[in-house]
Amino acid sequence: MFKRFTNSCVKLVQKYLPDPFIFCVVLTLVVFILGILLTRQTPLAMIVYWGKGFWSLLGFSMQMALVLVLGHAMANAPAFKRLLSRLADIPKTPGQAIVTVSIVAVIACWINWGFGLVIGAIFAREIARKVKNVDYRLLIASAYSGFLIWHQGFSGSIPLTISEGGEAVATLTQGVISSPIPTSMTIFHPAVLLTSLGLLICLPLVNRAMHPDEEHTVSFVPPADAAAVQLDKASMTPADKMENGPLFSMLTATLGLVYIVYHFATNGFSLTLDVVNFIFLIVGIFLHKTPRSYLNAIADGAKGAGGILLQFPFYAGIAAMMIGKNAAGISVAGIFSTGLVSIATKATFPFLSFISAGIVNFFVPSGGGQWAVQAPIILPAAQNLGVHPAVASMTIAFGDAWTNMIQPFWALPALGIAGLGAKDIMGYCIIDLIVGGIIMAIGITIFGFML
Amino acid sequence: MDSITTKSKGSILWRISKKFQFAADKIIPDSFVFCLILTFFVYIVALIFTGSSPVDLIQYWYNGVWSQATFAFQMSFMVVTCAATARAPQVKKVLKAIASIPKTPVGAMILLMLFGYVSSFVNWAFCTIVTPILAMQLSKQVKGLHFPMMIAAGYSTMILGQCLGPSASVYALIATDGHFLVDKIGIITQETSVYNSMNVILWTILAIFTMLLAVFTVPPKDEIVEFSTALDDEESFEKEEIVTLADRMNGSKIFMWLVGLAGLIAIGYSFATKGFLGSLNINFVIFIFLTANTFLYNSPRKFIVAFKNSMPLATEVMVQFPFYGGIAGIMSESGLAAMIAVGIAGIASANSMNVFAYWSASFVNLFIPSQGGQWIVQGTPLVDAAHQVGANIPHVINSFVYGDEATNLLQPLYVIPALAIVGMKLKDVWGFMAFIWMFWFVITSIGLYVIPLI
Repeated sequence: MFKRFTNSCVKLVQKYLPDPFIFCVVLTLVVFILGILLTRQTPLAMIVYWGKGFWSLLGFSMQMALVLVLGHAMANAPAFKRLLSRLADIPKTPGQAIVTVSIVAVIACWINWGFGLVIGAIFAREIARKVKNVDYRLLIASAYSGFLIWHQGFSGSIPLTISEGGEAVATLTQGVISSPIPTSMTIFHPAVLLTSLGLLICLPLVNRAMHPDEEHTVSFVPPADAAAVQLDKASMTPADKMENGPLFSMLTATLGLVYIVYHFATNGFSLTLDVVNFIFLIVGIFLHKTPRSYLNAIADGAKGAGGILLQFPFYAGIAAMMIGKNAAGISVAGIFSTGLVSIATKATFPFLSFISAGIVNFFVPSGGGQWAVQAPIILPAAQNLGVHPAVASMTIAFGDAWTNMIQPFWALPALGIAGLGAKDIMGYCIIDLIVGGIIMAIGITIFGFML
Repeated sequence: MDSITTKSKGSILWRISKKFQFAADKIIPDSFVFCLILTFFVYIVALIFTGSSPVDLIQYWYNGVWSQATFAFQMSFMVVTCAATARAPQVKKVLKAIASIPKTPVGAMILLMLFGYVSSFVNWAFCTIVTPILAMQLSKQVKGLHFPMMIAAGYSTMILGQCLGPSASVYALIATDGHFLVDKIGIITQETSVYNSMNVILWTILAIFTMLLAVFTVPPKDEIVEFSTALDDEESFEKEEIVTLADRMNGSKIFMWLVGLAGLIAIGYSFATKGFLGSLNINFVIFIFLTANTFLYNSPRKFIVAFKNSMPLATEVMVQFPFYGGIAGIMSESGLAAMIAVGIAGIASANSMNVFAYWSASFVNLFIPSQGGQWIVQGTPLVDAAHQVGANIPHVINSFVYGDEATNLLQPLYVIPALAIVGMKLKDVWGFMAFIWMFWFVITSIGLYVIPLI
């Protein structure tokens, strides 16, 4: 029964899900039309929002592209590959392989989402080389399923933002959050931790249950990476020696490692996306030993970043159209949030807000962007109903992570590493969406009763 | 000139330039290693002269590393988008038509450089990308052109064009209301800052001289390197089987036209509200190329494939920009950049101020390639010094811009996209770039001192 349902999801997605780029073009058109119909703005006004918003995520897009490229380069360093390959020796059967990848992905994404996205996919690739008859698509989908947990984890941008408090938070929440909300009331609240634990236990089991029988298994052995070219030392010019010698790599790595130690010594264990990228960069340079070897690895990784380069600006345009307000101050995103929230009571509010956040996330995949869109609407509404602001904030965080399972935006880096298309994994992700949604909906409702 | 020596050894200029090129071949490493070397150089110099502790300097370095993320994304996106445009079959046809006008190597070089100056006035990013593409086509049509020289010459026109173009960031900045030095120098419009007689005269001399230099640096026949890489292959698309709805969407033209139409409207709107030059920032240039691509590659599948194939070009930008950000971070936060500016200004007089401003900007630019960033670091000390010695402010700013631009011939950051498009290495062209720079350095130093006196 469960297998048949999974299979039909996989088939459906194979048939109807176009390339992620078209997906984002279609979303662009949908929001464009919704904006005209719902908020009664002119087509030109919508296009102007789009054209302006197009460039609003530049710095962030670079960070995302670098997470992929630098993470990929680091993972391809000989020493790191040996480590992953030893870990990949642990699982023996396809079922164990899926469970191992899922657990690693969930834990890594809980610690840091950028790290988790890349490590999960790289680990899955390594396992595919070792374990026979494991379905490669499901393996990558399992690696991606860990991403469900990111926004209730250590790098969740909404809980981290409200734990810092400050002017911007107060303005965005219309004064509802005037003093910082500590992470003990969000990430480390028992109800939230319980939800995280639920995901950690259920996702590996669900992913394992989805494994197709032998005749439907699509196994794939990723090609071995090209062996290093042997160099003729005698005929090298000074320039060649600089490129192929360890001197400059080691000097750079020393500078970087000193900073990393300094950073953790002074700031404690705090990981922003920039720090993650920096660690990837420095460790990558160090493990590759020579500039030439590192550059080759980077060039290899950059091939997978095309989707990010091309699509992030389009999503920025979509988000700008979503939040573009008409003369009366109403935006498409606002209509969604208010509509769902207007039918809520104190008990149902967390659930409904979670659903609305899930829908909005489809169009505004970035967690920070989503906070900017929804906080001004959800938090005042929550206050009116007597719902605690910590709960209200976490509903947005949960919803934001939830529908990422069927929104290929975040899967792009993982897909770039895996060499798969979105339609290969999204069928399995639908099941993870359903199961994860149930766990998260229950968790957030309990959370609402406890605070 | 003796025809026999021309045949065997090339012109005198060629023989000099060859010395540069010979050195470059041996000692210029990959541009990535180049920027690592710069990092340590700046680190050590700052350690010795500014009294910052080693750990402080590492922190300044880190603070700068990600400061250029936005710019890095713009550059990568620009390279990829523009390369996709340039490789579209239709664009190739047009460039081929232009490239078929000149019949001789001299004509081809002159056409390339005139095209470079004009496109640089329009926009530097546009010029950086289109000039090497035109050079590629010219090299195919006209025999006897030395391709590395064409790339270096084309790149030099982009740099020089910025000194007389209205869009250079310093000139645009000081014409803007409320810029950060407005208390000291007021608002200076492009009319005074760019198009004053000294700047125009000096620029014309340099522009003509550079063209002569490029034309007369002739290699002997057997040393000519013509363009040959596989990069220039046209995108080929095999027919894919169309079975499912998803396949049909991937091949559908409607999506591309709708996006293209929206793009055209956004472009038109910007021109209508901000004017042509007012719209042309780097984002807008990318946007124009992106919109063009939606028509040139008229199905989503082709569009995506074209992008994917151009991705390797962005690699260098992605990995090097953080390091340049870090270098700039050390330079500005440790006070090293300001120290250099102040030190040089301390020995200047009203007449020689221009020359010192030029030299100091030339030097600092090696480490802070972004003009806007360099102005933030150097602007205040330079303007203060100019006031003290009673120098002409627009002239000092002109000198700053010449210095800031000229050493981009030595500092490879901006030439990376151009090299990526034609599939060359820095060491293939660096010798010629340094060769051109040496002449510029002499002429500009003399010109900045002498022309205002006349």
